Amino acid sequence: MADPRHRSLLTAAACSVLLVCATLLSGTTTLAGPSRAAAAAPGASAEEPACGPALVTRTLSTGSAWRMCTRIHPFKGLVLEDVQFRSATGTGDDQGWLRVIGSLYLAQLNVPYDTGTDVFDDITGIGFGNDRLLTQTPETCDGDALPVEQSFMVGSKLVERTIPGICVREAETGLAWHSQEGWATTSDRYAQQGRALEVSSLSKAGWYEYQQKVTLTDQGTITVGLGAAGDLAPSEGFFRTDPAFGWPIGPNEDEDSDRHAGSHWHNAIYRVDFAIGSGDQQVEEWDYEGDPAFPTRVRGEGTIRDEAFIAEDPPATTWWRVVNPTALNADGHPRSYEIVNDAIQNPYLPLTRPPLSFTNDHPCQEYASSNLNAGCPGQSVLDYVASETKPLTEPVAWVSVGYHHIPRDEDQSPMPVHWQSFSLAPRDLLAQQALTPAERTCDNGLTTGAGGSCAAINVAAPAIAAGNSPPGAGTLLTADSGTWRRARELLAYEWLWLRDGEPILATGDDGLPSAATGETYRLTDADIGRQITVRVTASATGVTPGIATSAPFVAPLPTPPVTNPARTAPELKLKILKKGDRRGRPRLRIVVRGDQGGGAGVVTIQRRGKVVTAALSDGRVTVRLPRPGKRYRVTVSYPGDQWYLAATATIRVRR
Amino acid sequence: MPRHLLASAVAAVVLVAGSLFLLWTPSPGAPAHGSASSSDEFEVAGDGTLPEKRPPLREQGAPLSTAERGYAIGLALASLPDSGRDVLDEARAEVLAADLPAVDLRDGRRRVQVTAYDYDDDRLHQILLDLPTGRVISEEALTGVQPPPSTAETQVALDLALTAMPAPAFVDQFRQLTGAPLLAADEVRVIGAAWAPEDGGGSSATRTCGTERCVQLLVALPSGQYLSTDDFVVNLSRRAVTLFPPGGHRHG
Ligand SMILES: [Cu+2]
Repeated sequence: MADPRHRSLLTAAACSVLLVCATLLSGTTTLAGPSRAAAAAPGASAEEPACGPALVTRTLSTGSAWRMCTRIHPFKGLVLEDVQFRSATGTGDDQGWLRVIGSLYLAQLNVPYDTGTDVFDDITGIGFGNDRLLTQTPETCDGDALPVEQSFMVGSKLVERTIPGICVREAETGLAWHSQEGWATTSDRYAQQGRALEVSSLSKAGWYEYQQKVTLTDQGTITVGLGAAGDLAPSEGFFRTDPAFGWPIGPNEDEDSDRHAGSHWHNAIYRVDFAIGSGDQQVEEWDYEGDPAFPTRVRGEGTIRDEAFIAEDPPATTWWRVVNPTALNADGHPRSYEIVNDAIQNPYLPLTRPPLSFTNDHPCQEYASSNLNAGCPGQSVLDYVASETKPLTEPVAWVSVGYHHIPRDEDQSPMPVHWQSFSLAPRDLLAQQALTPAERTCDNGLTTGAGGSCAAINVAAPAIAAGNSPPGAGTLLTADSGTWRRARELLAYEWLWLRDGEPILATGDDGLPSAATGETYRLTDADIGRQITVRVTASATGVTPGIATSAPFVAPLPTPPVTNPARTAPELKLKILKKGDRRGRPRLRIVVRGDQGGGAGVVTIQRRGKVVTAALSDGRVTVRLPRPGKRYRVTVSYPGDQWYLAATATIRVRR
Repeated sequence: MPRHLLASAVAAVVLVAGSLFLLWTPSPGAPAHGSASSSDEFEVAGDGTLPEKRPPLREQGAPLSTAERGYAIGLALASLPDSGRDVLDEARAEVLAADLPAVDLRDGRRRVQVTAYDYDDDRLHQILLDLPTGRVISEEALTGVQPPPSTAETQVALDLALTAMPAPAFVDQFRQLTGAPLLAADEVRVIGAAWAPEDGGGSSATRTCGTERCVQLLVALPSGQYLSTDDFVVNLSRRAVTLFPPGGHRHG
């Protein structure tokens, strides 16, 4: 049906108008996110939404992703369709794209002023699209402002414009998760900052301007918000003398002054068509009952509501979810979304009083009231529920989200945005939370929270130490294991030595080549000047193995001796310190100094045919000598360096 | 004023040199980048006529291109009776909206739902079109449903209010605030809202609003200051302005 050539032209056209094309294009090309999509079982993922340039696909920096179709309807404003979620860490059936919402939009915004004389239906009477849609600017959108193509008839002419009209941005959500079960060590602490995708638009409906904003978190939660800003209704006609209907705004004059800004309601009703997996869905209600004789005892009971209904004055503890009994998560639990509506409702209108109503998905039931669709004209949610005859298998939620705006001095122009919202929270959409770290992947069911990491996780890389300095062929290198998070089982370590990133083949005891493994490795001529690293693999039964690699160790090529014709003779001073070490052994201080400062390199110390070496640091080094049974002599030789000639000195060590 | 004169006056206001006078532009105090506002304004698409040939079609869920919308509107208008009249009294119904229908009605195809108002008999028409075939899938007509007014309807309502006798309060208020008489619609900014009395309410003059097409106006000076417009509604079907009695209520 769709002509791909046309589509690419469209995208190019959009790009020439706006600067957002880079993200628009990359948004669609990067959706096959690297390892994750490849890891998803074929066929497990939902089909990509079919909406061409209106497809928004974003992978959040925490790894979870959303994709959906976005557009601006002439009356409804922002409409989302075919909303799909992909968790960062889901496994098995929880991998890949999961379809959750068929369509979501604001189905009515009823604004009655408390005086009872003025009421506006901002969706069915004014509309949020066409010329009511406001252009996104850097001030309104610090993310990607997506192009919106609009057109309508004026008289006999078709008019059009394309403006940046939908804002897509990634937002921080603060601390996303936290767990610290082990109290002995902070290496058992798991914490992460969360991210969310925000999709929004701005519309002007009279003095009020509204931001329609849907926030989709990396945990799969969808929050649907309406932010109202702009200006208070004009004082002419909307400011009254009676304080019962408003609030005094502006400087005080006299008590009867006509300065009370009119209080009013913003009564929003959203239409949510759920699409959790495929096939019939159900609405389940959970009710709770206390026990007067045992007040802390609360009994809960779930009931499938198989007919359309209005939630009339439900107890605050009652909640609902839309569940698909045949769409199971990796644990075999049916997937569902819970409706979380903590907003208040205007209790004085039969339409807005119920926090929630459910009907089947009928295409003619487009608006929550004053319905504009000819299939069921002028009707409201109340009529839809009353006229439903079929079992509730394709649930549509009508969510009433109110805000009683009693103006304050602070609400004057430009009015700070005031918010009203509800949420859709995943309940068993996944077998575990969407960002489960590797350390907690085995923590599913009875082992909750305890027992250390499920995976070998390196905290500090392994380190290599040389047996002597300067190192060269024959130097023995020793590696530690690095530091690892406490795991469910005691970790065992294996070392593999690498030269320039490739495993080193050493000659084994049998004379055959074998990989250099173990905690130690002796440098050979082939290693000099090359990068030597050690790779540690940590593993244990039932623990996901982990790998960590050390920083490179380099044995420098021997520097060719530099002959400095101006070399001078240093002074080589030896002194037995007054105080021996704790065990009474004498300590010999060796100092090599001359006109160029301290000598560099090593000195050799000879005693009764035994030779040891010691490295000078800033021309000095202190060595311990054996406790003398009888007196002996110690000869110290300095081979010289590029500044100093060789030198030798002798000292007697007495009892 | 005779109907056809009114119509041409409105057309002149609405379409100046091929560019639509924008009813709501960013406020004059908007930051500098808003100065590229030419791209924010609606302009006549091509020569403004509706495409008669089927344009390239997008995927079923994609927003309508201008060409697709224009093509659908043309098909919809052609399916309506010749007696149809728009708010300018021209021989076509007033098109109020054209957008994708509900997902279930798309049937996986490129479909458009067109809503138009026929001032000849005060009926709202809703036509579901299949763009690949150009076929009308369904067409319904009814009375008593009043969607948001179109740009032209809002403009006509404002023109009627400006010339009404006696004049609504905002005309005099404009003179008081600006020191000059309000003569032309483009001296103010306007948003129109469909209006009907509450169930069982309304005076004898407004009781027909709902079955007839009535509009209330929110009118502001270019500075953004709103004028008082709660003392009247405009009945577009009758081209009449109804003033409420002083202290009267628009509702109830
Ligand atoms: Cu408010």
